[in-house]
Amino acid sequence: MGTIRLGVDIGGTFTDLVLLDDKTGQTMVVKVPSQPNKPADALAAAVKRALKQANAPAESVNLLNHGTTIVTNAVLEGNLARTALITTSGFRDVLEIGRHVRPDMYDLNQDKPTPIVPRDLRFEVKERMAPDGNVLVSLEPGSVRAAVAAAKASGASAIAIGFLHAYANTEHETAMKAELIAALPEVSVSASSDICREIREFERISTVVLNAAAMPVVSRYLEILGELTADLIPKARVLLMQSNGGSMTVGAARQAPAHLVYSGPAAGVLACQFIGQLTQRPNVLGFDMGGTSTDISLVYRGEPLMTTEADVGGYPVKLPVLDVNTIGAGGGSIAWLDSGGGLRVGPKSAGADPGPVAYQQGGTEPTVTDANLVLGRLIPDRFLGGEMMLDPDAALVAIRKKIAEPLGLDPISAAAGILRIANANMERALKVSSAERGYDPRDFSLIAFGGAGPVHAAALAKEVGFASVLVPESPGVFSAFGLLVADLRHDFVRSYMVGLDQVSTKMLTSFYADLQALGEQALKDDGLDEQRWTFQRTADLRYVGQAYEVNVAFPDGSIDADTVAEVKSRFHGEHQRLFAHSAEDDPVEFVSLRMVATGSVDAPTFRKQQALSTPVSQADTRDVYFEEANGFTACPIYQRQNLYPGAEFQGPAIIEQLDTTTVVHPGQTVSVDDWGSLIIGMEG
Amino acid sequence: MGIDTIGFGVFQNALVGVAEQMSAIIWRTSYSTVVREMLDYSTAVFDREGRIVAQASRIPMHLNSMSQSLETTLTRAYPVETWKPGDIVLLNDPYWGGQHLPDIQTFMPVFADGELVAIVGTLAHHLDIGGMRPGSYAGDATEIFQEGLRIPPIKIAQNYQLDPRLIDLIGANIRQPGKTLGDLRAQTAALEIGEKSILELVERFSVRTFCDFSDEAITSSERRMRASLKHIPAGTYSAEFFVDDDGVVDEPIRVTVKVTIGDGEIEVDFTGSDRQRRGPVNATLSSTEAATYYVIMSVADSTIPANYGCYRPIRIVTEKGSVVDAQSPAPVVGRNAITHTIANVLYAAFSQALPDRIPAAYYGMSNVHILAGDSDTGSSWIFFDIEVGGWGARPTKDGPDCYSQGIHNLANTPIEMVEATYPLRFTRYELLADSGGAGKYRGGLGVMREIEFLDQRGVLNTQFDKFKVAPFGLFGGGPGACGKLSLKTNGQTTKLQSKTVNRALKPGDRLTMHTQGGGGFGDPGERAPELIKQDLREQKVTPEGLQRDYRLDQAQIKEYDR
Repeated sequence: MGTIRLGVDIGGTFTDLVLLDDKTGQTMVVKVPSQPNKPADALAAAVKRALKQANAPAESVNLLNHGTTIVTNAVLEGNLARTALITTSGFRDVLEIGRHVRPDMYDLNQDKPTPIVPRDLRFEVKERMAPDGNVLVSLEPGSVRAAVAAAKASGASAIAIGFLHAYANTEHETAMKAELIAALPEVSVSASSDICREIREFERISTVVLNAAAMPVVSRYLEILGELTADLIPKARVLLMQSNGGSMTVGAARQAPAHLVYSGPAAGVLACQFIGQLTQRPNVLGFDMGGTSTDISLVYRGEPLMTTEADVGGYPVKLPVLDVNTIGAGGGSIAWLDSGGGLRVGPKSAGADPGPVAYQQGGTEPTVTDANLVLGRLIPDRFLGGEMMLDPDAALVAIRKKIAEPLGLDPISAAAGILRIANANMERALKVSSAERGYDPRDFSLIAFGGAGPVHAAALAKEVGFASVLVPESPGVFSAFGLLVADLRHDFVRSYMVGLDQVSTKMLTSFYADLQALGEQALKDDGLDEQRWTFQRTADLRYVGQAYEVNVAFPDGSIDADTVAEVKSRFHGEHQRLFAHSAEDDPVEFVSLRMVATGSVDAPTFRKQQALSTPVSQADTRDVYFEEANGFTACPIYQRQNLYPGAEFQGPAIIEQLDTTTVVHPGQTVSVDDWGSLIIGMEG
Repeated sequence: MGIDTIGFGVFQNALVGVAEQMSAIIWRTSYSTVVREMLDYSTAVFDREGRIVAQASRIPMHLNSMSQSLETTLTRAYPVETWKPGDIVLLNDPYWGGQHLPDIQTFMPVFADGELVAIVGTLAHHLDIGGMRPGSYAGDATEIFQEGLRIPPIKIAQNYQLDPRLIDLIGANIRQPGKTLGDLRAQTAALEIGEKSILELVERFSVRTFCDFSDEAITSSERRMRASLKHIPAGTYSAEFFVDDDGVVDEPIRVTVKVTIGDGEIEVDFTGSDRQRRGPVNATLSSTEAATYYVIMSVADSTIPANYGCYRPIRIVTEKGSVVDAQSPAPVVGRNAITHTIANVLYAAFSQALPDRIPAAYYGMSNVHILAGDSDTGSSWIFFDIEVGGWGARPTKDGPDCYSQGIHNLANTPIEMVEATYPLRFTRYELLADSGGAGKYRGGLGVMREIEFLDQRGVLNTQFDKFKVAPFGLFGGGPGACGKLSLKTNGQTTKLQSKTVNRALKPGDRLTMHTQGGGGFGDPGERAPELIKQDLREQKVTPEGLQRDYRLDQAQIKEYDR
């Protein structure tokens, strides 16, 4: 039996791989350029290189978990399969009508997202369910035949089924699906009650449409991936990372590819959760800042925050996903002056191409990276380990011409201003993700990763009031670590709208039993032993008349009146915590019941780093600008690879490494923990 | 200029953040679907003189909607020097600066070091505020007294404690007090968050700097608005447009406007608009201002931080006692018939100045329909919803089908939620072929919605418009289809008025509504063949429609339909 597991995260620019040998606890990272048109080739190249570097035989790999952007890219680039929709008579336009709200209040040129299924591929059948699951109109065979024929004639390679109230009774959808599969065996078919058994027709139908449309695309990809991995790592079990923070088998991914929409960001959140566990930090905020955007996520008491209100490219996906707030701010964000002479930063970005002015690739607009360079925080000849020479003079000229002169400032003040504005934008986003949801930043550590995260994290932590900043050992590939620790996971939901005073404990028991049976079947299909199974019940509740639900844990064990009373009290408590008020006397209702079925993988064994008697090596000194020091000040520059557990020093400091730079401000402290992470403490 | 530009940038970002944060609290904690799914609420931060410095509005009708109320509160009820920490003032009276009675506004002062530094405010549309009809949409009201409880400014809280006697007074005058009072709690929670966030800002910047930056926020927005108005060709542009009727007297209502632009200023003169009406479609000045500001922001530069300074170069001229500046006791609950028409008539005027940027008329009404019922068991309910129609076509592309436009921006309520909550059943919800105005670019389609009433008895109230006056096209584009409403009862279909009042409903009655399409843009003869083909394929235009509106003959249509 092999002892090596691999995590491979395919991103837009790079494909990152982390290798862990469970026998020795040693890890290794590999970075290769992504191949947008052939993503599996980049994965294969990374695996080959890793095995070679680790000098490990192909058979020694027992697990590959994979984060992929294949579904997101297919949606954003319009490369989904030609898809038909079969729906309840009278309601074929639900998908196109949507919810009416325009994202921009003013823009007279905006458009609705074009429906994934055009109107002429949406077919109706006669059938109707009531909200309680009673059949009002039986599924009419003639209309079923007509719909099957129409779908066939349309040439669609995927078909979604979305009937009204199918969450309450799946019979009609199931029968329709059977007819389609029998008549069109080569076509991918997905029913709304399979993927999202939840009330709110537009969101559920949107979800099943996206799922069906992604099925052929993902199947093709998985076939290629299967061939490559069978060849390269024949003994490895191949899994894919889901948006919900668990992994799924290849077989499950073929049926439910909609679970892959936030595969990449989810890995990052999981990595944060894991390092939090490892270092006894139950509350952490993930801060993943790259070139064009920043992902912010939150882990509270060891559990990542989830949401069911996600969308991709304007199409709602009503599935549980890790709650990641993405803002358009990164190292490449452009600084500019608005018509009133106010300094703004972003959301326009110079991206990686042409990139900041300092890259000398044709960029002319000053960016956040240029400002960092001018202030001495990035070192020109050591960026990306010296692979790219930065031009501080060009950056300075651009900042002077475009920002400083129009504002009547000197270029250094202008550069410092760019950082202040950029940080103000991110500070705002960090507050939205924490304080505005009822979480006190003082109880949280900020985990900084991505190429630009560690450059800005210490300044932000001070402004927002986080307890500390943790910079992991390999911030540039940190997300991929999440792939090594993901358990298999299945989410099930069943809408059940009923007041707490009328709820039947028998019905609750039976619904949860059904959900658990689905979970057991799914884990069995995954090929996992029973001792690895766990089940977690939750429920969505709200005050009667409220349009928004709160998810609370539902107690294990048998369900009686006391259980319901306990759920009610949890709901009031959670409402109070999230919204600063609750109304104990107001009636409460259930909306949906949820079940998470988890199949645990073996816990990884990471090895602590060895402390040395001289944990800090000699540092160079450079002049670096800090507002706290009222200008440039002599600042020690450390090399990350020369810092070992036990190292401790004071800010200001710059810590350089291959994939990022960590900036520590005057008055802050730095220590290196047993896992090689930098811990930045705030003043005092 | 002597101001710390960078610090000011940070401040302005943070101040909008305060309004947004208050807004997030209301959205997350409110009870009623009106607030939560229709986004009918807003929050704002005012300076120590009561001038608006930052706002978070989810719908245009709430732009600057609290400024007049705060001004009358400060000048006529509670002068600045009488405010103490923890005071909350509440009002809803349109004739104290509001728009209509369901909008309850609350204000709270923020003190730092004993000095008043700001006032925070919230506004939310409540499900019911009493009056003669459920949902407080009385289409047959002829006086504001029939529309519900009028509350001039009152101190509802002192020292952060709500006055239970006043809460009871309000509760006793409205239907479903639980929900309304729940939303009021959300509003007061938002005020407290607003106060806390302002104090954090003051601590960061000092009282002096905070106040200087507040002034600068206003000055810089004014500067930007003036600069952006200079990009619109100077001149005078006039237009008129109509509301079907006021629901009480069956006569069209004229809204006329003369827009004069020059030298970074703009005058919007509504002189000549009809006198205020007996029916409840009248707009107070606050409503007229919000609609006007919205259109100007969308035409000029919507990125300018919206505050008092933005509005300073805009002069709005009205005649007191007209439909755009109603005086007490005119009823006003359906003021959106006027304000949507204001938006469309202003677009008609601006299109003369900017023919390549302005769309044709949109559906032009918040199509309110309220079904209420009660059964023999004694339980009663109210379902309130608003349906939208098609956008006007743009100078370079079609108008979106069935999408929020103009002075509101709201979400529909999911059918499954409605059916799980109320004894109602939907039988159809679909786009209406041929309802978009013909043109080189087609207007957006309206929608058809059919609802069956299942309870033992009930009533229907509606506020629709543009059943007789069609949304206009521009530059040769045809008008969008008018809306219509009918009720099928005992197998008999009856056409209903756009403003239906208290129509009785029986089990099995079926209500059918058709919403309005948007106007077309440009000559239909110039429409690209690919677009005609796509419309035919998607059944958004029928062969008959092509023949009638695009003047194509059978042979041509056959060619396109292949």
